[in-house]
Amino acid sequence: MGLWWTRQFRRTVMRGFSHLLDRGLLESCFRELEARLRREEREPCRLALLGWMDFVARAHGGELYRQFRELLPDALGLRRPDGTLLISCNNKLMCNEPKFCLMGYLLCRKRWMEKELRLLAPGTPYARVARVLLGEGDISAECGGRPGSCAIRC
Amino acid sequence: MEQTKVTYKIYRLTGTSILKSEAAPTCEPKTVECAKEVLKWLRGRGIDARFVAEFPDRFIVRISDDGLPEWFLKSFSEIKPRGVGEVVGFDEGDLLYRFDDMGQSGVPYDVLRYRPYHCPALRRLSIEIYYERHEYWDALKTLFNRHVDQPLREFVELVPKGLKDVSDLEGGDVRLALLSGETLERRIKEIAEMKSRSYNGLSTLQLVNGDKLLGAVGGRGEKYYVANLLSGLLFKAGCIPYYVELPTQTLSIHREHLKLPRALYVGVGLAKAGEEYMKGLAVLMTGHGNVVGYVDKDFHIRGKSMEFLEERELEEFVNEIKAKLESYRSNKPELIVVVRSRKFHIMEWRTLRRNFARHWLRLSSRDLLLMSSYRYVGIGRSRAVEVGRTIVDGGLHGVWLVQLSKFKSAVKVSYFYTGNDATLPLAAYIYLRSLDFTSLTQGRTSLPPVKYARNYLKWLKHMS
Repeated sequence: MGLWWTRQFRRTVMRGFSHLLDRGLLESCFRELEARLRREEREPCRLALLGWMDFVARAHGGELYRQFRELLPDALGLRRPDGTLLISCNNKLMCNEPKFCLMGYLLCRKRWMEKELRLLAPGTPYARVARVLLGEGDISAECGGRPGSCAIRC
Repeated sequence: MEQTKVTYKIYRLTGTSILKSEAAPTCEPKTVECAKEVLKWLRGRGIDARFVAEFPDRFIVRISDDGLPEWFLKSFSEIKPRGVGEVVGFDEGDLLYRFDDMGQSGVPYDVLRYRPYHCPALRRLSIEIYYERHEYWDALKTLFNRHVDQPLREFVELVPKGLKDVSDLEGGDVRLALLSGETLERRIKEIAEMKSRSYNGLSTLQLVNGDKLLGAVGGRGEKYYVANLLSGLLFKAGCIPYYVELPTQTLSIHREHLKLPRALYVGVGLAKAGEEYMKGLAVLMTGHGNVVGYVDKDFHIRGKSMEFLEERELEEFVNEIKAKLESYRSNKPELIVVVRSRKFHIMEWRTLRRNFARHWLRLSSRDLLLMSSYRYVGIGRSRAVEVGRTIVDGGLHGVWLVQLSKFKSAVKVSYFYTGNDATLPLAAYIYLRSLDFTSLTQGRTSLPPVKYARNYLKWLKHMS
C-alpha cells in the first residue's frame, strides 16, 4: 500500500515530469529552499517555502523526507519545550485562523483542512499560500519566487 | 514597562468580624441592600469604596497613601489582579496585523506602508475628496505624500473636487469632505441627514474639520492622524485594512478563543428618540471587522430603564437580526457576540438566549456571548482581574476588570456566556477592540460595532 501510494503521489504531483525526479536535483532544490527559509521572517512566505519543501521531500522520499518531517514542527514554531506539539490534528477550531489551518495542513494533511483552505477569501495573502500548499500555485514574487534549482512544475 | 500608581483594589467581604463592631450592619452579605449598608458604613470611616452590582459582596476600594486599617483587612480579602497575558494567554501586543504584499506588523499604524489585506477594488481605489478651501486639500496632499508609502500611494488615488455647496456631498461611494469648523456647525442638520442617508452600518461620507487638519500639519502626531484617516477611508470603501491574527499560543491554552475570528458581532446602541421611545440600533460585523448590515427598532421606555425589558419587543428585534443573519449564514459563525456599553439584565439574557437558541444554539458548536464594556477605575496597567463568576441558566455570568497597557483606567467587562471558558469575554474584548479600523489609537476603550451604532444614533440626534 505504502509503495503504491508513494508511486501514485509522485505521478500525481509531478504530472509526468519523471525526468525531474533526479534525486540529486531534488535535494539541491530542497537545500536551497531550506536556506531561504532560514532567512525568511514573513509567516506567509515561510509557509509557502515549507509547502514546496514538502512537495520536494515527498518526491525524493527516504532520508530527506524524514529530515523534513523532523524539522517541520520547529520551522512552524509549534513545538513546546517538552517536545510535544501545540497543534492537535483533530482540533477543528484551528481552521478559524487561516495561518493555523495552513500549519495544520502541512502537519496533518486532513481532508477537512483542505476544504477549509479552499474557502479562504480569494486574493488574500493566505489564500495565495493555500494554493501553493494545495499544489495549485507557485511561490509568489513577493516571497522571492521559486529558487532556480527547483525547476519542477506542478 | 511604565509603572503607574494603582489607585483601586478589589476586595471581597469574607468574614463577619466587621459585624463585631456595634455600629456595623448586620445583613446578608451577598445582597445589594447589604452592600449599600456596608458601603455607608465604610464611607463613614473614611474609606472611599463602591460595590459591584453583579456581585454585591465585592467592593472596589480606593487606596489612599495611608493604606487601609487593620480591621478592614480582617473582614475583606483582596482579589489580586494578574498580568493580562497570564490571564488571557495573550495581550494586545501579541496580536499580529497582517496586510497584503505579505506585510505584517505588531502595530496597526503600518497601514501606511502596505496595501490593505483585502479590498474589492483590486487595482486602484479612487476616493473623492471634497474640499471647501484649497488649503485643506493642500494640507491633506502634503500629509499623504509625506507619510504614505509608495505601494499604497499607487493603490489609493485621491481625487480632489472643489465643494460648491454641502449638497455636493450627496452620493453613494465613499468620499471625504474637508469642511471648515464653521460650516460643520452651521449646516449640521443637512450634514446629519446626508450622513444618515449614506448609512449602511457605516456611513460612506467621512467628515474632517479642515481647520483641525491644518493644525495637524507639522505636529508630532501627524503620522498617526494620517494613519487613522486612511484606515477609516479604506474601511468605508469596503476594504479590510488589516487582518488581526491571534498568537500561536491560542492553539494550546484557550482553544475557545479560536472562535473569535469566525464570530459574528452584533453591536447595540440605544438613544432616546422622544418621550416614550428609544431607538435601538444593531450593527452586524464579522470577525474580520467588516460590517455586513444593521437593524433598527423603536422600543418603549419604561421608567428610566434603558434595558430591553419588554420581552415581545426584544423578540421582534432579535427576529430582525436573525433575518439579517440569514443572508450571512454561509459563513457559519461559531459564536454570536452581542455587545453594548450598558450591562445586560438577567431577563435580557434569558430572552436573547431563548430566541437565538431556536435558531442557532441547537447546533452543537454554536455559542452566544452577551457582553458589555465601559470605563471604570484604575487597577494598574496591563492588569486584569476576575471580580466574580457564577453559573446562571445555560451559561456563565461574570465580571472582569481589564486595563491594557495604554489605558488610563480599567474597563469593566460584564458578560453572560453559553460556553465554558470564562476568559473568552476578555479575549473577545481585546480582539474586538483591535478591529476598530476607524481609530488606531492605543488608548481607545470603545468596541467597534457598538461605536458604529452609537455614531449613527448621534447623527440622528442632530436631525431632530
